[in-house]
Amino acid sequence: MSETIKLVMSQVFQVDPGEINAESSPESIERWDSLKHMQLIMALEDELGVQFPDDAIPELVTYGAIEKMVQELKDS
Amino acid sequence: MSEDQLGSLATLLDAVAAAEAETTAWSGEVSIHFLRNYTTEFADPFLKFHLMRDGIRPEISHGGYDTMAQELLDPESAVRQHDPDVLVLSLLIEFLDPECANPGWSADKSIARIDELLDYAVERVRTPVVVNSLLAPVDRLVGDADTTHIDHEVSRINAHLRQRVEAHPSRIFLSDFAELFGRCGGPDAIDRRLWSSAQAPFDRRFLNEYAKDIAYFVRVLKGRARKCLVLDCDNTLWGGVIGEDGIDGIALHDREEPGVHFRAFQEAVVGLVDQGVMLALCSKNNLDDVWQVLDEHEHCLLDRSHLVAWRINWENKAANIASLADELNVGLDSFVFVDDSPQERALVAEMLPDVLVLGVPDDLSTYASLLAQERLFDTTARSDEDRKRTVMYQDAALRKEQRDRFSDLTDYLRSLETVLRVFPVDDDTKVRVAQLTQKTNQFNLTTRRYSVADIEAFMNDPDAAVYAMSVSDRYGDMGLTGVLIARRCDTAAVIDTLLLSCRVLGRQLEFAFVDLCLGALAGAWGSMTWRAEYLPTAKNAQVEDFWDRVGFVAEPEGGGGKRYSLDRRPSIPDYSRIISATME
Repeated sequence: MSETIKLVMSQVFQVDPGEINAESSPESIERWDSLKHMQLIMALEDELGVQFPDDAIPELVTYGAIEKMVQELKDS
Repeated sequence: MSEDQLGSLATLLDAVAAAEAETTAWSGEVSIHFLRNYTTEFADPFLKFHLMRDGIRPEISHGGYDTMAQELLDPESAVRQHDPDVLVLSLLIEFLDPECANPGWSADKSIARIDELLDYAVERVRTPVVVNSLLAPVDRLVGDADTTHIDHEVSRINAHLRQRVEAHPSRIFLSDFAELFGRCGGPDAIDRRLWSSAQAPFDRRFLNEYAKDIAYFVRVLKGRARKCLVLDCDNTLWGGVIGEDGIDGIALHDREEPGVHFRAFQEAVVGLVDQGVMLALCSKNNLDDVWQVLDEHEHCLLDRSHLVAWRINWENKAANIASLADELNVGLDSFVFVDDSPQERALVAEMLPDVLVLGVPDDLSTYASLLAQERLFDTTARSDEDRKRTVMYQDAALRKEQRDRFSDLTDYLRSLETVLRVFPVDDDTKVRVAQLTQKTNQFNLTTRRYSVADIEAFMNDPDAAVYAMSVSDRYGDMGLTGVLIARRCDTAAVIDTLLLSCRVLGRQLEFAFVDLCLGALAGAWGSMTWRAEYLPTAKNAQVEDFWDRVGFVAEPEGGGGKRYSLDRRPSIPDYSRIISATME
């Protein structure tokens, strides 16, 4: 799962998957703007077969937060 | 880039970024600016995909929200400064007129606003526009509101839009959102969350279809629409193998499964031929077997008169298609090839990467709409020439047969009894003239693309002249196949455009045409200095020394291309033995 998240992030933001860590955020990833954020959300939902709750989307702005949310959705 | 990459947004974004990072030469570049009243940026990766796949590198920008008119009118705006090749006017009704949900709402104001925007774009900024037909408000589409009154008013807007497009078919292109919406599953095409969070209502499939529409229009404008369709026969034009199943055993029928799908595909193909697409067959069959189906099968819609050429033999298909390109004098990037066999498709895709290769879908019920949905061929402004084209190419095949019998080229050319007519362009010929400037790549000295409106402007300008030529010979009428545009600047006559259709090359017609045009210009404008130029492109190397050959003197190199001038009449090779030429 974490591999998939990193792969999708690397494809959307054009960064090396190896550079992505829990703190990766718009601060450290240059292309992570509001538009790319929505593309990331859509791409992650496609690849992982999950749907993020609407109100959580603006909060999913670090790799760590995304991974945690995906884990919760998979568990429930 | 391949279709698979469209399967997921992540792989699409990755593929587009990789293609953009490549430094290989693109065969064309195009700048596209969205004038919009909602978030249109999500369409970008899809649009890039469909254009880059065809070798066209797009530069895409988006204007401010709901500042369409300001951008068109303000000479300092990004639109006016950057002068994009194409404008996309992308509109949602709820922002065009926020009152649209009120009872008793009238679309009059929206119609007036759209009219104004199209007028500004077409007349003032003189840039071609893709505009969308309007959908009902999103809340209504997904069922939260219900009023047929809104639907009625919206359809009034769309009827008006259609009229505008019909009046300017080469300047305004309609992306029919209602049709895309239906094709993408109606309300399913709305992404409600994206709508509420980003004011972007459309899902991935819809954006992909929208991007296809825009890319199609760009290709048409750039003269890059596909021109020639090449089809396999067995399991492509009919179900089964004619050599084994026989004429009564193949699947081709007006009602029964699965033959009905092959017949529907044939119907779509014949429709394209009627719109001027060249059709050829390339299959591994016995020639007589194929002719038997085309001539005798009661449900076969295709017949030999639809074909411009064929390669029905056991050679490799890539070599066959390359030789079709030679025979028809059309670039490989104008070809679409449809074959059911993955091996044949792979071979052609590998050997001839410029050819667009399509398979037969597993779900045959989608087969008939395959070619239309991919929007590959130019079916916008159609002139009479297009409808005659198949006949003209058949004439060309006869001409070639004749050529093989003469050893001396002059003898051969004289035997053709060529008649050339040169005349000033008029209302009946302006569509064809504009189309030639859009499509002609090889014998084109400057490759300037003009719309019908541009040609009209030349016609109304006393300091400009547009001449056209039409050619016929003992084998038939080749129609309007050459254009020369000249402009008067002080005491110089500048040859702005000189082009000949590839159908009439190699017959010294260019000399006769230039001779008559310059004679007429000298008569009309008095004694002048002639100026001309050659602007190189990837495809027009064959004319790089054209002006040298008629005695023009090249100026010292400066920038791209060559510039020429001449103070006397040019020294044009004698063509009078082989062409009977008249000026009207």
